[in-house]
Amino acid sequence: MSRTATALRLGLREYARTPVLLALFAFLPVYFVAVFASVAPSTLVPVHLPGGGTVTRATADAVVVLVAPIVTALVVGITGLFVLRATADADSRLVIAGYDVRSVVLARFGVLAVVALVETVVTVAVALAFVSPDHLGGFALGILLAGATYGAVGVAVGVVLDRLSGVYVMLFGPTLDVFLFQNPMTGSTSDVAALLPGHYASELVVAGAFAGDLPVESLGWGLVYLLGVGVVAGWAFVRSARPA
Amino acid sequence: MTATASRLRTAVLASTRAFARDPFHLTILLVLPPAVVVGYGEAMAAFPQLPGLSAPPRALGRISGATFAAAFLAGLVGLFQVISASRADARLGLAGFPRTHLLAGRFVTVTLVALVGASVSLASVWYDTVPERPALALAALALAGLTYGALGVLVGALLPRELEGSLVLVFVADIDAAMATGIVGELDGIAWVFPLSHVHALVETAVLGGDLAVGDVVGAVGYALALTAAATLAYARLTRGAAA
Amino acid sequence: MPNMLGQRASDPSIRPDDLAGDVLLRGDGLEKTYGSSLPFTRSVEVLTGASLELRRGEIVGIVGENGSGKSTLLKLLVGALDPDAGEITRGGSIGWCPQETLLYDRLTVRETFELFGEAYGMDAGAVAEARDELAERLDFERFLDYRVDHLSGGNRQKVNLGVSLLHDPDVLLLDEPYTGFDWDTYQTFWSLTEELTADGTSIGIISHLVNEHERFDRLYELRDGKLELAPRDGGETA
Repeated sequence: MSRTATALRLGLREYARTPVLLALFAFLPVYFVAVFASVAPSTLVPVHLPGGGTVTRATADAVVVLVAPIVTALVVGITGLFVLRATADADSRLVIAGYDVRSVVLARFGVLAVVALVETVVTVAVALAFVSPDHLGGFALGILLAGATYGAVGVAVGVVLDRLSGVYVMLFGPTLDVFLFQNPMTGSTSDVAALLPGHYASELVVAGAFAGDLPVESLGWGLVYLLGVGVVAGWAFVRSARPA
Repeated sequence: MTATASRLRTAVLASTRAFARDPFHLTILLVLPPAVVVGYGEAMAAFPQLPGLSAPPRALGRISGATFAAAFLAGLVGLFQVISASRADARLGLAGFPRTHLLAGRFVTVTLVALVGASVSLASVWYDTVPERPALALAALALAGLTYGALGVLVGALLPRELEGSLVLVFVADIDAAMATGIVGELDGIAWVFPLSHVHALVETAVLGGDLAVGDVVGAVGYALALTAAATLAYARLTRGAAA
Repeated sequence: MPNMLGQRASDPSIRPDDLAGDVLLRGDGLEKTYGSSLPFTRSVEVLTGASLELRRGEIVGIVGENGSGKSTLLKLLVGALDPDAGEITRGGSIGWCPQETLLYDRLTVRETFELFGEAYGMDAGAVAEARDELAERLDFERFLDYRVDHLSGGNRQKVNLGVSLLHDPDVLLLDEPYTGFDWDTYQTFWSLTEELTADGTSIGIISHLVNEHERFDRLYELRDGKLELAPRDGGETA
């Protein structure tokens, strides 16, 4: 455990020494949410709640709730794509020197988890300037779940694809998934929607914002989904780490 | 062949080969546009006729997907070309290779990617919706690619780190593409803020028919030219005597 | 990332029975081909049956043309790559100084030693003692709180070498370790190797410099994927 803690502490210190990246982590959620909130009209639209039921809200409110999980999905997903690749060679030397592979992998996932948490806090803070979620905890959990799940997806994609191809996937994936397939302004969702990484996170966010309760089933399935993607990402990373 | 033409040819070939030698890049170029076009079409098919939507949602989804794919394919190539080669370009510049030729090499590669991306995107739309004016549709999609190609070069020259540059380009593109769909609302008076808004309108007109708005032509071409000029300046600043 | 699951090169508990006497590292019939599962790409046969032994207290040079497979051989010996065929037997802890430094750019030198000290299983006191001694010998004391990416090429290489020596390994494998060293550090490096071999450390060095060849107890040449003992001093076999 001490080795994991050391690797995590030093891994975070590396990130703390990238001021431009930290500035982007702080600025991008504000920019993203604020632009959508400013452009969207205040006309009323029906918002479809998970599990049935509809409420009517201002389009601007619905759009802020829609885009909040996209922020964490994009930022943490793309960071996940880069986080393991960026230190792969040095990590390899560290493991050859005697570091336990699980400690290194856990530390890298720990860095990603911290990025997801920070992005969630910033995104929720800026969203609160425009909307008042009925259940703040559920709203924040959904945003965190979107980031964590896409972070793991990013890690897995990074094992298979190079950075250029990976960024394509990690842009179009979350955008298609969360912005279009999980969009609560449409009543009839595609069958594919329930299979996508952003599904349960979006349900949590919409329910937290507009239904006033915490859909425990969505949270449970979301965590199961996250666990599954996390296991696949960890397996893919460790497998890619075997001697060539 | 004059010395200038020879150098230009060398720069273009070197730049294009570096991109094309990775089979993943070519695969992405051929696979991503159909996936995005179909994905956008299917996802938006479930939408009601929202106030900002200027056409049937499914057709609009395909057009938006095609515009987004053509634009971002070239944009990311522009970004990675500049970041990965800036130091070598600076060294070549000091060795006597005119930087204008090096930049031309980058832009020609971006243009080729834009043309291929536009062609594949248009073919993906054509599969379901026969364009009213195919040549105009191809030109408009290629213009979307050139606009984002220049934006990618600009971001890469101002922020020459892959993770940070990717995050900026992804967020700009995502907002831009989302706004262009019209899901968020109409962009009366502020369309000029978003690089894809005019060119998206051109693609829509070319595919679905209707009168070509001069404002959209001027806006789309103007955006491409302005970004190309800005990218040229930023690239010249990046490669100025920075061989170390 | 290679060998994340492989045998730990630094594990001092390894002492296989089939290593006779004073042999600390043996590679036998090593083969390696770099291939690709992608179409339209070529395979490159690098090693076709390379064998060598490193004994306690000796210093062995490995020479060969550019691209002959020297770095690949070293990666096989430390466990960074798996051989396609052949066997590697290690009889002690290994220190590896790769050609590319493979360090974390945004960590300071002090933090780098802390991290690798953990990897070697050393306690904080032992790490500090060994680090300070190496920093003094190799003259990078004043850079301990510099970030690795802020170091000059020569100082980065000193840190690279220092990391491989931190745990006082039984076998030291060095891939052109003095690239970028100034003359004083270069001289210090060779004094250090003499002290290490006197204490029983076995050292393998990939070298390009002909004037160094007399420093080696044995000199191997890697040619056509195989190692041969190279002649020295006008044809005499070392």
